[in-house]
Amino acid sequence: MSLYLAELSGAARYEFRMQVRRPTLWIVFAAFTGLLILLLNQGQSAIGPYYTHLVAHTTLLKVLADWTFNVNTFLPICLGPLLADRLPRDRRTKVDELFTSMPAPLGARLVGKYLGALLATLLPILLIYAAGVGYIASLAHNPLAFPLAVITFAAIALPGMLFVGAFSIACTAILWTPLYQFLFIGYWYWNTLWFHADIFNLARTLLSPIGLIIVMGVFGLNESSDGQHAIHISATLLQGVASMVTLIVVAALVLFALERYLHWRQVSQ
Amino acid sequence: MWTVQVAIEHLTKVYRGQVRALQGIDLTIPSGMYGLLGPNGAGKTTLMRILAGALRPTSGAFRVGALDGATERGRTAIKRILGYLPQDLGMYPDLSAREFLDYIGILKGMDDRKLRQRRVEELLQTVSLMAVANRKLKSFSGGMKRRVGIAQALLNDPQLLIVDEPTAGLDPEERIRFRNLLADLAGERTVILSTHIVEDIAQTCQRLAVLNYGQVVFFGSIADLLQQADGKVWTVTTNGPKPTGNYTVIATMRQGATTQYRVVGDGRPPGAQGEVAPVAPGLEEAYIWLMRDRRAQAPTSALA
Repeated sequence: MSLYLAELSGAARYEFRMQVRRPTLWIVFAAFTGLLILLLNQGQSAIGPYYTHLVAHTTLLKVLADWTFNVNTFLPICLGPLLADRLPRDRRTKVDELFTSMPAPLGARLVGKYLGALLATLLPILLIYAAGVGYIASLAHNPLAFPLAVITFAAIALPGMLFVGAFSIACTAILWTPLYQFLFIGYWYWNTLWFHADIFNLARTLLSPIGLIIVMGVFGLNESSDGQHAIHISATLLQGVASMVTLIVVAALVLFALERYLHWRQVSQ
Repeated sequence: MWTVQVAIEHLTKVYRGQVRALQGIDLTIPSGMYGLLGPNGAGKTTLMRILAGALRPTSGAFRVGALDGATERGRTAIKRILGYLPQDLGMYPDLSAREFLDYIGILKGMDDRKLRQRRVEELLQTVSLMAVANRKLKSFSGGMKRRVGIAQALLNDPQLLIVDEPTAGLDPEERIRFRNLLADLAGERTVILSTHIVEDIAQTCQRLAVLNYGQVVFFGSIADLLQQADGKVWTVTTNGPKPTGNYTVIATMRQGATTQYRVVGDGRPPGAQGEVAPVAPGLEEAYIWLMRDRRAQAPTSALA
């Protein structure tokens, strides 16, 4: 078991290193965040006045939950496509055959790849998130914002990120990477950004990767981020916790299925 | 270090579309340096990939020492004593040589960080890459990448080393250097060298097997193979036309007004003009003699 963990953590370390060195990672997040600031920082609902108002009228925990929810609604659009090429890259660079001849189990390599690449891709998100938390802490004159932000991120954002990460690593085992990236971005716009719409929407179920059920059930938010459109659904604490657990369990199942599929593909070559 | 013998029994590999890459191979590979020779498409790479655990056979079995390659546990145990340099070595271009070797060390189960790092440094020294160890692999030449390849294969100090076409694409100096390195390594382990370059085998191996269309057509010592071609190699020095008939011209050398042909064939070339003399065969000529009749028997479904 300790050898398995050593191989897993070694794979995670190098996958992290390779992903974090990609210029694309930083360029994509910088460009997308710049675009978001340009689009959202206008009029009454501009980020500055919005959070000034929120800090004055609600608890710090709810403000941070709202910020986490907003980060988790928009930034995973970049996370999915940036993770999608990690598995095909092993085929493209032909390290597959070499790795198969090594005693490290496929599962350890896959989970290591998943965790390392995901953590590296989360780094720009965490930096943007931390900048927002810093701004909220300065508005609230309360350094407690930082430890609370860790809790809100872990509870609201992390389960969805793990979920999106698992699908983004796994789906390209059977889908052409650019096609997956296109479908993912389409899915994100339709299914998560339009969660107010009266069409079937995964974002209003326990499988909400943006954390809608968690943010409502666990943190008691009931309005959309612009404060104008009430979301006509509610969630209990239990549903919020169930959403967290479901997202994490589904992510684990997806990785397990991927390991089985790759093993089968290798055996049936 | 103890050395291992590889025993292969009735090994068959059929790819999708009923393409038979290996057709019931039986072979025993002793310790030391062992050559695996054959034309492109003979099944060498398929055999190497099966022995390395990268591919499963359709039927048949193999053992490495006491380890059974037919079971999952046996395969994992074999991988622990194996060093494998594939024909088409993959690398992460954005890692440095040092990082790549460290990563491979982790995947080979070398979990003691200090020992692993010491071994990486030793091997960087062995393959003369210390000066460029922190450079990204994407900036390496083909020869440098091959050296990284052999270093990764040796990381776990393997008892069985499988190298598939290791000198392909190398310049003559690199090839010689590489062959010498392999020969040095063979002193204390089993090294299987698969290639279609006869010279690489001639310079490094005492024993070899020849594959053709997924079957073993010869196994034994180099002396045995040379003996088969004894009396089959001739030089024809003539100012007339090139020797014709059922002969393979191995070399043609202009010598002023005359031309010397080196040919392989059964018996003195009939009708050849000029001076005809038998000569001792080299390994390349022995190989050509061995394969001469077999080319005509090509099954249509064999591949690499």
